[in-house]
Formats: sequence, structure tokens, C-alpha cells
Amino acid sequence: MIERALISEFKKAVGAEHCTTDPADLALYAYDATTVEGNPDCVVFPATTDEVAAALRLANDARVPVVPRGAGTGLSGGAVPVKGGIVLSLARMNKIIEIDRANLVCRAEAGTVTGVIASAAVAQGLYYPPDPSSINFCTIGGNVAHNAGGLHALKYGVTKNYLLGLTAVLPGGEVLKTGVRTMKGVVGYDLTKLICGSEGTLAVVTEVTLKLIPHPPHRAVAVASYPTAKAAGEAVSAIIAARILPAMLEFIDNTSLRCVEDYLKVGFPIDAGALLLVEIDGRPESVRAELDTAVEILKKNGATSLSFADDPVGCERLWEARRAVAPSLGKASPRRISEDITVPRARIPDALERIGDIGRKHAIPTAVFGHAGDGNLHVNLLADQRDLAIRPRMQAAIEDILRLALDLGGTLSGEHGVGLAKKSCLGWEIGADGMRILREIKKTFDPNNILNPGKILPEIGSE
Amino acid sequence: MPDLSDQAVAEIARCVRCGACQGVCPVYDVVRREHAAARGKIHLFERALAGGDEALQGRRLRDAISLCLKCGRCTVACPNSVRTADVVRHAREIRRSETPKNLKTVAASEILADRALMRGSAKFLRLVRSLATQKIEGRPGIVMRLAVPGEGARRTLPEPPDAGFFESAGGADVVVPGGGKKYLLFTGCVGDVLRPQASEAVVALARLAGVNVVAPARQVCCGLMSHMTGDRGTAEELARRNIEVFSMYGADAIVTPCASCATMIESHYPGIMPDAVLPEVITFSEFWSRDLEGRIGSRGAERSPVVLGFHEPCHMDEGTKERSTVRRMLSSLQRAVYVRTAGEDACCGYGGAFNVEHYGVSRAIGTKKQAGYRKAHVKLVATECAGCVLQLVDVLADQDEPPEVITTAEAVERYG
Ligand SMILES: Cc1cc2nc3c(=O)[nH]c(=O)nc-3n(C[C@H](O)[C@H](O)[C@H](O)COP(=O)(O)OP(=O)(O)OC[C@H]3O[C@@H](n4cnc5c(N)ncnc54)[C@H](O)[C@@H]3O)c2cc1C
Ligand code: SF4
Ligand code: SF4
Repeated sequence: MIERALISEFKKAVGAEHCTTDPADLALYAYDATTVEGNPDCVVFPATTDEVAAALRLANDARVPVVPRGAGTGLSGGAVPVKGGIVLSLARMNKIIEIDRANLVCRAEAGTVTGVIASAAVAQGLYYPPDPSSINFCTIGGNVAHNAGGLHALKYGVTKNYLLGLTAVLPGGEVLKTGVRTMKGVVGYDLTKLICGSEGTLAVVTEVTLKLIPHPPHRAVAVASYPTAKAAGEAVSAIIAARILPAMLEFIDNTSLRCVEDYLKVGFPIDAGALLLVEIDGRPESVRAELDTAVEILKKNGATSLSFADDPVGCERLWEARRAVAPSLGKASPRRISEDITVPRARIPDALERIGDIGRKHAIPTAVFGHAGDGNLHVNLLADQRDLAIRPRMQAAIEDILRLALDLGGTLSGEHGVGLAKKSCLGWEIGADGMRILREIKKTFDPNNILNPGKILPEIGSE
Repeated sequence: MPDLSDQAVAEIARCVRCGACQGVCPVYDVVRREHAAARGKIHLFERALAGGDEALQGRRLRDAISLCLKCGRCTVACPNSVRTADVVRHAREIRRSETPKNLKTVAASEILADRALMRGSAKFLRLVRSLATQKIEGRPGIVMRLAVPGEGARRTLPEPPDAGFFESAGGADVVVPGGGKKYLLFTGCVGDVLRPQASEAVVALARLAGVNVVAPARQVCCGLMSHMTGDRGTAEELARRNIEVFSMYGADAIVTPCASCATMIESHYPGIMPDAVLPEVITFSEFWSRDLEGRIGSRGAERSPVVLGFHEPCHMDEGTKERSTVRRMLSSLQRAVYVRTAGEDACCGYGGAFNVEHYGVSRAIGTKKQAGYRKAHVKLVATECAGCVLQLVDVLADQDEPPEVITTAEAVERYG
């Protein structure tokens, strides 16, 4: 519990109506897009960097945990206040400060919805490529905190590739400006990229400076169906090996495509073992040529049917369908567990085969979809994780899947981050020295461990 | 609070907390708190309504229940099609049966329900308009002299007509003889009392095209306001009386200038009165495409046609057909140029009782509509819903050179 006096200080710092301890509000900020819950003691909604700084100073002095929150769409429990304390919502800091067309730079407050930034860029003929499937409702601050990827990461990269600089508030209330608004900059250690991906454990991001690029003039998407997941996986490896760089190369297995078809009725062939969505962008002539090559490869690898979209509305519709896969799997299994492993792209067929084996071994149904082009597979275990009879089997299956990722030379999480979900296995991947440096970095930024405690780093002794 | 109905529980169970609903909710966009969007409402209902923790049942739960425009955007965006608006309406019914009535919305529901009172209040409004309201040069409509309590803003209302639609007809049915199908004109309260020009336009156009239309004087309010505020008794009574009128006249279809009335009759009457047999219900633009297009002639193109914008009501059919028909209709106008403006499909924020209870939020949502029209130098905004007309008159009033707001039926009559 937090003392009453401290609450009134918070009220002074952000305005009484922007600080709440109403039990219903505490219940409303107890969750993100996972199934984990934990009530905070208080929720504050600052409107400026100065207000964020004031709130952090108060919390730091009183040694009260602070959990930054964007839109609460995270998939690793990062925004859940498992240790109580303050939830600091950036929802009111949602302005685009400028789009500088001369320098192709955008500045925005951290609580701005990513899709709003992307559309504002498009309106100027520009492009902000990182497009997590949650683009229309997650915040840019949350994207920075997770270094979010998206459908177009294969060709264009992830959030950090477009992040030039930050305004961030340290736990003691100091306002730190990092980075540049130039296209290059090597002055000192790269604090911008260090904070990017730190999941709200090092600093609260209040403003971002992003790089924009010219909007590609044309795009086309091919949808190919395959009799089995493995066949589709082989086609992915073949495309990558053929030195074609699609803007997007997505994989959807049968269970996933049935769920999304049920929701959106896009006309996916529901009997297909798996689908690939391949997008080529660029000048119209080169799009046509590259797409032809890609289609050759898709066919050679056994595509049983092919369809195309080459207008903006048609492409958007396919993206929408792909983005809806994860949440629509909730229909098949609302308490499912979703993993986010990434493997070297040549190993995708192996990975798909062995994921199937793992599911069968533990008798847990699985669904797999993801950004196959960059090796990122979202493996879903379709069972009720609250069911104590099944839970141990799910745990065992998760462990096998994570070990598999490392075995194949991959990583535990491609984009959803560590948060609560994976902190116990962090050491597997980064080793003892890595863990030590992580801990020291955390201590340097946050000596009192008030910022999002209990996330990323396991408690000492529990590794 | 008693248990939720099975249907509401099923809706709640489908939510996976992905947050997609937040990205489309017009109320969330202004309020910026979890309880404004579907995810938070669903979560709170799950925790609070299903019994248990008393502490959760305070003001925030009331807000979660009342802060919803029932625009349906969350359901469209939701991968699991959670029908939050239905759950909210259900929660309102429970609330209403248990707690002291909210005077503001009850008054609204009951005044609308009583056609005599409604017509009387229109006369009353005309009588007091010189006292309570004022005309401001260069602004459309009339402005209340006093600010809305607690909001500091003064409401702008459409200028009241000299007489209501049925009042002008001496309280009798209005009949347009013609061949082919027989249509029943459902005017809605606004189309009778506040903006009779809408109904008059439908009648005038039907006359031009020789289409058989009857407007029964005994029709009453559609009941949407009562239904949405959870006043089930009044909603049922109104539905019953209207269905009785419909069956007396035996029309092929009902036409209305208001998409909200159409939604109420088409989508909610069957739930309220499961045994009733209802004719098809269409809004004005569909009527135009079936029976007016090519039959009402044109007064020829204008040398400098007026620039016309459109506002898409949330209650237009979800199917894209109706939405493209209305745009085709507006594009066909000879004496006005229809320009598509940015945000023409954004919600106006009205929501009936919502506007009464949350005037500030409602107005903040609506005010966002100004930019698109301003940028395109729109002089006139047409829409196919009476509630949207009322709201747009109010929220567009304080921009420079505010556009006039009319119904689509009037647009066709004036500029066809
Ligand atoms: C349907 C769906 C699809 C998704 N698809 C993708 C995808 O394709 N790719 C992908 O990468 N992710 C995806 N995600 C996960 C999620 O949307 C991203 O992780 C996103 O970046 C989270 O943003 P948020 O604003 O919701 O952050 P939150 O969930 O509110 O917070 C996430 C973490 O960031 C921290 N944080 C938030 N804002 C700040 C800030 N301003 N300063 C410091 N720390 C902060 C929080 O403390 C927390 O640890 C998806 C999620 C859903 C529900
Ligand atoms: S979009 Fe649907 S499933 Fe997702 S949080 Fe909203 S109501 Fe729940
Ligand atoms: S119906 Fe509209 S206003 Fe109500 S929660 Fe859904 S999106 Fe928001």
C-alpha cells in the first residue's frame, strides 16, 4: 500500500483528476494482452515530460515501484504491475510534434498510437515501416520499449532501425535526451538503442525521434497455399536462398487460417495445410519482375493454389487478415500460451516439423504462424493455461520449444520481449557474463530498482 | 447487481484483451482511459457485474456503462466480434431497474415517448426561444443563452420550424398517391417536430416521381433512445404502438430519413416483439436508388454549385452497399458538388442520451469533425440520421463560416 500523503503529492504533480486509486481503476490497469494480472495501488496519467519527471522523483524517494504503460497490448506481461505500486500511463501524451519533410524525421510523444504516426507519414508521401500487428492500437513508446517488429521487418527492419533519438526520464526524475536527428551519430555509447528494448526497466520514454523513408510506389502480394506446413517452410527457405527480399513473407498454418477466415472471410482456402503471404514492393516494373521470380519458386516448391492482390485496398485487406490471426486464435482457445521464437531462416522447415512433434509428445494442440521471412514463428499452445491438470504439460512443451529455438541457433523471443513470461530462461540464451552486465546496467540506471521491478531480470537466486 | 444474461456472459467470455477496440473507439480517443473502450468495460463487467466485489461498483462502473455511443466500431474491429454495445445496453437495463433514475436521460426518454408532449414541447420551444435562446449573426441555428451545466459551453440547436410536419397537415396522415410499391414514411421525432423539412423533402420527391407514400400521423417515436438507456418498458410500449400502425397500413416497405430509426425498427424491434411481422425498412438513399433515381428530373446544373460534404452515421447499414449508395446519390446532384472529406466516416459523438449525460465528451468527439469540412471549404453537410443532424449543428457552429447541416433527403430535393 502507498501512503495517503504520497497520493496527494502525485495528485499535485499531475492534477487530481489524473491520479486515481478508485478500486475499479486499479482493476482496469491490472492487465495487458496476456492473462497475467496484478493490481497497482495507484494510476497516474501525466501529460508532459515534466510531470513524468515529477512523478518518478516522488516514487523514487518513496521507493515505490513504477510500471510504465502504453496501450497495454504487450504479450509478455511487461505492463502488469505484479509488485503493485504506480502504473504510469502515457495515454495522454499522444501528439505528433512534427513531421519534418525536409529531413524525413518525425517527432512524437510516446503515447501516440503507432498507426497514427504511420498514416501521418503516408499523408506526406513518407513511410514508417515498423508495423506490429497491433499497429492500430499499440503506442510508439511501447514499440520502443519492446523494439517491436512487424510484417515488414524482413525488408525494412524493426523499431530500433528507425529510432534516431529519445527523450526519456530516469527513475530519479532526470530528463535524458539521447541520440540525434541526423542519419548518423557515434558520440558515446548508444544509449538510444540501449533504452530501446529495455521494456520500461531503465527509463520512461516520453518522446521519440523517428526516421522516415520515401513511400514505396507500388506493392503486390501473392498468397500461396501448401498441403503441409513443412512444404510451406521449404518454400520460405527457398525464397530467401534465391536472394529475393520480399517486403513481407508471412506463414499461417491451417488452424490459424481457419480462425481468421471465420472472422474476416477473406477467402483463404481453409483446407490448405499452410499459407504463405509474399509481398514485393518497389517500382511497378521491378515489382512485376520480382514477383514472377517469387511465384516460380513458390510453384516449384509445391504451391497448390495461388492468388494475388496488387492494389492498396487488396494488400491492406491481406495485412488486416494476417494481423487478426493472433487475437482470433483466442476463439479456438482463450487461455492459450503464445511463444515468439526466432530461428535462422534455413531451419524453418526443421523447426515446423519439430514443433509438431513437441505438441504431439505433450498432447497439446498447437497453432503456428508468423514472420517466416525473418525466421520469427509464433507458436501457440492451444490449451487452458489456468487448468492445473494441463498446465505442467504446457510448461514442459514451452521448455522444449524454447530449447529447440536455441538448438537451431535461434533466439527465445523475436519481438514480444522477456517481461514476466520469459525471465526465468533469460540466462539460457545470454549466459552468466551477459546476465552480470545486464544487472549492472540496470543498477546504474535504477539503483533503487523502482522501474518495472520483476521484469526481464529474474530475482537473484531464482535463475 | 443480479447476474448478467447468458448472452452477455458469452460476449464477455470471448474477449481476449488484445486491445484492438481501443484503436477505433471514439470515446476512448477523447477520454483516454481503459473504461472508455470495450476492453475495459468488458473487464469491469466481468469483475463487477458478475457479483462479488462491492468496491468495484462505484462511479467508474457507472462511467463504463454510460460512456458508450453504441456505434459498434469495437465489434467490427474485434477479432472475436464481442458485442460490447449489447452488453452495455444490458448493463443499463439492470442498472435502471435497481438504481434511482438518472433524471436527465429519463426525461429525454419520456418526452420522446409521448408524441403529444413532444409536439407540445416543440410549441413550447418556439414560445420560449426568444427567452432561452438567441440568434447570432453568421451562425446557423439558435444558441442557448445559458451554458450547459458544468460544461461552460452553450448548446446550439437547429432553428425550430414554424410548424411540425404533422402539425402542418392538421394532424392527419400525409398521403402521396402513386403506382407500384406502397411505402410508409416513418418520420422519426426529429423529422416530425424539429426538422420537418426532412419529411417534407421525402414527400415532395415522392410526388415528383409518382411514388405511393403514406405518413401515418399515429406513428410514435421509434424508441431507440429509451432502448439504449435501458428503459425497456417505454421501448416496448413504443415498439408495440408503431408495429400496430405498420400493420394497419400494410405497406411494402418503410422508408425513413433517419438511419437510427431504421436500425431501431429493423434490428431491435424483432428482439423486443419476437412475433411481430415487419415490412422491410430502408433509409432515404436506398429509397432514392430504387424509386427516385432518374424519375425526379433535374433543374439542370448550376454555374457555381455549392460544395457539399457528407457525414456517415454509425447506424448506416454495416454492409457497404448502403454506404456506397448514399455517396453515389450525393455525387449525382446537379446543383451541388459532393467532395469526400477526411473523417467523413468518423463518429459525430452524439449517441442520444450520451450527449445529454456526457455533453463535454460528446462535443469533443464531434468537434474533430470540423477539420475535414473546413479543409475542403464545405458549405453544406448532409447526413442520413436525425441525431447526427442535431449534433453537427451544435459542434460545427463555432467554426468560422460554419456549414449548414441538412438531411440527405433535403439535399436531393434542393440540389437534385
Ligand atoms: C493482436 C496483437 C498483435 C501483436 N503483434 C505484434 C507484432 O507483430 N510485433 C510485435 O513486436 N509485437 C506485437 N504485439 C505485442 C505488442 O503490441 C507490442 O509489444 C507493443 O510494442 C506494445 O506496445 P504498448 O503500447 O501496448 O505497450 P504496453 O503493453 O503498455 O507495454 C509494454 C512494455 O513496454 C513498457 N513501456 C510502455 N510504454 C513505455 C514508455 N513510454 N517508456 C518506457 N517503457 C514503456 C511497459 O512497461 C511494458 O514493459 C502484438 C500484440 C497484440 C495484442
Ligand atoms: S477487440 Fe475484442 S477481444 Fe480485443 S480487447 Fe477489445 S473486446 Fe476484447
Ligand atoms: S460501441 Fe462505440 S463507443 Fe461504445 S465501446 Fe464500442 S467503439 Fe466505443
